[in-house]
Amino acid sequence: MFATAQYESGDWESAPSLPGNLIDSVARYTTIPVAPQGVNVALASEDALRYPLLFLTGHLPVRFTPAEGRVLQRYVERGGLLFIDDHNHDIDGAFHKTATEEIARWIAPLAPLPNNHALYSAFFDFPDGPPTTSHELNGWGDNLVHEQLLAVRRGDRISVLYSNKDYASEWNFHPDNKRFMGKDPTRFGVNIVVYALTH
Amino acid sequence: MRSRTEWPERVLRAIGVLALLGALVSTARPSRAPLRPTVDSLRVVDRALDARLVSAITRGTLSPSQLLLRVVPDDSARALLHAARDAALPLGWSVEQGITLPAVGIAAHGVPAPVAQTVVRASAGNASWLTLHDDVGWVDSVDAPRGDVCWSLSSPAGSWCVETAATRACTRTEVPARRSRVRVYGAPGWELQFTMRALEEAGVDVEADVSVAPRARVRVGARVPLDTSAYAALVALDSTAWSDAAMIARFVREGGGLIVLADAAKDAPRPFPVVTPLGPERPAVPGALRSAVVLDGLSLRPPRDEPEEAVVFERSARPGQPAVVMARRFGAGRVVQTGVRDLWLWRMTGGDDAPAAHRAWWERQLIRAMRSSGAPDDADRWYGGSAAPLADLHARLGPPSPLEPPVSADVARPSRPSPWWLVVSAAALVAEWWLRRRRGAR
Repeated sequence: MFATAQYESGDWESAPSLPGNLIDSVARYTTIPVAPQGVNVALASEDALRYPLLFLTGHLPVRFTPAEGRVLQRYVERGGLLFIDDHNHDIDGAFHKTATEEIARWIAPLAPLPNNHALYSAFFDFPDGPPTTSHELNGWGDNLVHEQLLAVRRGDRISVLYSNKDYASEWNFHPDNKRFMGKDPTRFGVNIVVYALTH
Repeated sequence: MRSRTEWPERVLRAIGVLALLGALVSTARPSRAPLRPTVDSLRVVDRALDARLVSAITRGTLSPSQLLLRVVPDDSARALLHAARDAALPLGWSVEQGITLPAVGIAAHGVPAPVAQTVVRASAGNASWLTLHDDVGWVDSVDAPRGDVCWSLSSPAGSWCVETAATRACTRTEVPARRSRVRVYGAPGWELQFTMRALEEAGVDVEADVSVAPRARVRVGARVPLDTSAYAALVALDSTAWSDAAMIARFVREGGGLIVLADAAKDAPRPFPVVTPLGPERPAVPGALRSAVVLDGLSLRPPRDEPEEAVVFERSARPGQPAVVMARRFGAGRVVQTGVRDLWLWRMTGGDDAPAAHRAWWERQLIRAMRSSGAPDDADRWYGGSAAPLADLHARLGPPSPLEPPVSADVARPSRPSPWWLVVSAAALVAEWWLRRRRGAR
């Protein structure tokens, strides 16, 4: 079950097609059983703990409420994986600055994830680390290609995975359109799901 | 009519008989000598006996001594005093005035790998401060006003001593074999993920080979041939395990452990007659995940019946109290079967202690599935009396027994007859015999 986190500040629903697209990719490439529909779950609710992989995105500043922060702490302590993607793909954007601050405040500071981490070979191989997005290559946002993702790790496992690469834009399309693409950009999303389930 | 020459013979005969009576009377009369030894010395005894006392006991030259104890003597000192008592050496013991020797006792047992812990329990009567030591020194000190303490120690084995100011009690636990590799069979999913995580957190080397696509597998840990020397147990989360059914059956027959969850049990193949068919599913009890009957917060497929030879470890509080965890022998190994489903929900959505409780539950199942340690037990080289030294002191020496004070003059003992009575009697009778022979009588 793919779950998107609802939080009170910001625009949590800014990539509505992404869950369906990623579910399609998981079903297309793997034998992992998937629910056909994603769910939206309030981060302030204990129900969030029923979804050990949570996706969170947005453009606007993020400030977690105390209830959201407490659930997030429990979520990470118990073994959940929170995947955050900056829909702005800006290193100095409002989302990036506030989201990284909030993660540091409630969980731990984010640190660069080595490009040879198991995440990059969990299903498809990405020997150069996180795949670039068309938004980075077109120079949109901060005109940077972000070489590494950021992460909070507990032991050797990723608890919070943070991306400035704007996968939320890159993967936010109807799955049928994959047939027009030379290479499916959601393949890295499959790695995230397989990693969360098996590592 | 008797001759007048016979009267000296009569006199001598009478003297002989009277002297013999005198000897008998002197034998019956009590002696004036004292009966028991008096105390020559008071000796204050520490944990170890001083060299002079040891020498006197071992040479058998101990003068009557009263031992005053300030502490409970150690093992070897108690053994030597026991030997002295059995040798009837004049020895008494008591506790020095104003001192109370606490009855300290200790017990320890090792929890085998993968947990590899030792649980130490100590009781110290009215002594409040206890210190715990292991093979290499001090471990902990604790104020235990009620005298009872329990430690859970990460060290898997060794010797353990608790000490108060006056008593030191020791015991030891054997070294359990550390065979902590476990193979987990399961489809990619949260149950697999959180089972592996709980086991890894418990210190187990987890190995899994997970199929995620027709030609893609995710390997966790290093796979080695399935053998009881390499793996402690196997975990079958679902039917993916049964692709290795024959191999798993051989592993368990040879002494390995197998934990079978409901989703695996429902498809158990023929090689596993000990996996009991499942009964109907019992739904989760809402809210129970945060109650005292945690597992009732998860759905359950209990075994349809409980075979006579099965051991039920845990039961549900639901109506009929169905078995939650049950184990049976299979060859030399054990199969632990549990009908609980979606255990990962316990860890993620349970109470504050849910991650630790989930981990501990998996540890318990692993211990139940593993065969007992084959490690050599050196307990025969360990003296059991060390665990309760004061009790051992009483057992060896009896209750405190002060030596008697000097015996008064009127307390006497039987004495040997005086030799003079016998000499006089013999001389008189010989003379009487000589006179009779002289006059020709027989």
